[in-house]
Amino acid sequence: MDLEPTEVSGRGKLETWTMVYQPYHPFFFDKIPYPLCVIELDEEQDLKVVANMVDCEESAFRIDLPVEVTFREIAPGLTLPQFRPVEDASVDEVASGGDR
Amino acid sequence: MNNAPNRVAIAGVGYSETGRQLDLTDDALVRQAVMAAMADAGMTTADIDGVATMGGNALHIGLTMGLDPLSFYFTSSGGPAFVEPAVQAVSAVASGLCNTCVAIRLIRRARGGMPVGPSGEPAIPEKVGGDEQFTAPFGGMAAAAAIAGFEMQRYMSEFGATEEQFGQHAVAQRYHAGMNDDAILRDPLTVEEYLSARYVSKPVRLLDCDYPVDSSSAVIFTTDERASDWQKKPVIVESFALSGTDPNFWQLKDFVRSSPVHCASLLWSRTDVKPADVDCAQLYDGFSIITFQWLEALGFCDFGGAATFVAEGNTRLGGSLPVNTEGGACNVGRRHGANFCIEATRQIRGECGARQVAGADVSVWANSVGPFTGAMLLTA
Repeated sequence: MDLEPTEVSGRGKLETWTMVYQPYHPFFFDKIPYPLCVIELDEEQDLKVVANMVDCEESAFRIDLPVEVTFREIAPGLTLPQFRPVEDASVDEVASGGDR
Repeated sequence: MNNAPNRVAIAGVGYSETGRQLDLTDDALVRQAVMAAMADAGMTTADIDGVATMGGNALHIGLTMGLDPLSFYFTSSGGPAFVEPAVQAVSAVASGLCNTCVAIRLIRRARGGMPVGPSGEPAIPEKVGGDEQFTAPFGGMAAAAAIAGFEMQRYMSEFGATEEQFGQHAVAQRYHAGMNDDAILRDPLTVEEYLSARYVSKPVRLLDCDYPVDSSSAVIFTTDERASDWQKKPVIVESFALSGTDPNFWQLKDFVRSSPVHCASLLWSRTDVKPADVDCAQLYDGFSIITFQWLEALGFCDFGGAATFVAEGNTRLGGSLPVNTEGGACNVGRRHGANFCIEATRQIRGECGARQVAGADVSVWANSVGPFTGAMLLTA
């Protein structure tokens, strides 16, 4: 179990999501409903991260939607990884071998 | 050395008072539940030599109640709710570590903890550690999101299940609760009312969530020989299983086929009883999607088939497999799985009055979902 940081591409697929309507921290009071997503990174099966989706309507969410990381300053001094749809999804799906 | 496995049976079951913001201490709730279970069996404290609990401390509970000397004690540090201490209790009796073990769940409604509006006080610390550091900054600390939102959305997207089908489940459970004097929510429910309940973590609605309460539950396990000495008909633990498969709720390898699948395969591998032999099922409903996952994992329908199975009325009393016949935790309150063990026991004893499943002599109850689960098959 030798663990060390490893650089990844920042690309992955949307595995599942939920729109959170009930906030559990004041920071989110004015942000509900917000999308909370599980993204499986392209590098490895079962390598999953939780993050929010940006630049994407809820109606466009679907299983295996190709996404890529984008770093956003969500509060002064706080930058978090968020995900957005890959712009040319059809090209990306071919390039990554399509659905597993 | 003689640790040949004993056959285990349930001799007594009981609840404390259950409600919101009860003015009772933890010790008082546990004492009420254990004494109710002892009274159900016709036992005294001298008849119990093991304590297994989630909530409180087993040694403290046993020794302050006069259950001494103890031959076995187990205190959960976090697992699949009531089934964890129940499995420990059954294992202890089966192995001969103790003769008679009471399994307990003590649970209290969170008090003033989590703000739900701008006027609420922040209860979540500004700093987080452990697994939460990877979810909390994204607003991922809500149980309804990780335990149910991810699973339910994936299920609906993968199989085309509808919100109306989940509504049918809530309606069927409430129908059963209407026949249970112990249930807290008993008024008939319609699918339209379900669909008008607010979202907590879409697609999870308020009526998909169990109802938080202060409560304690107790179930007394003993050897089947000893069980026949007590006043109630023994209910046999035909098979039992515990499972752990994933590190946490957001890293599940599969969001619709999680630990229940492994747990169910263990459960059926240890008995000749088949899913078709089951007369009624008591399947955890901390959130509605959990019941759906268990229906499929236990083999009552195909993966993706639970939504249709429910909508067709199979899980309603009178259907092919009545499910959650006391109303489920959504209606009897969050007794965290103990209610399902107790209802399965009462159905097999034939004590359920208007909601009795005719001739019920096989029932399965199951607890939790995702990373960790447990289940038991009970027979007459």
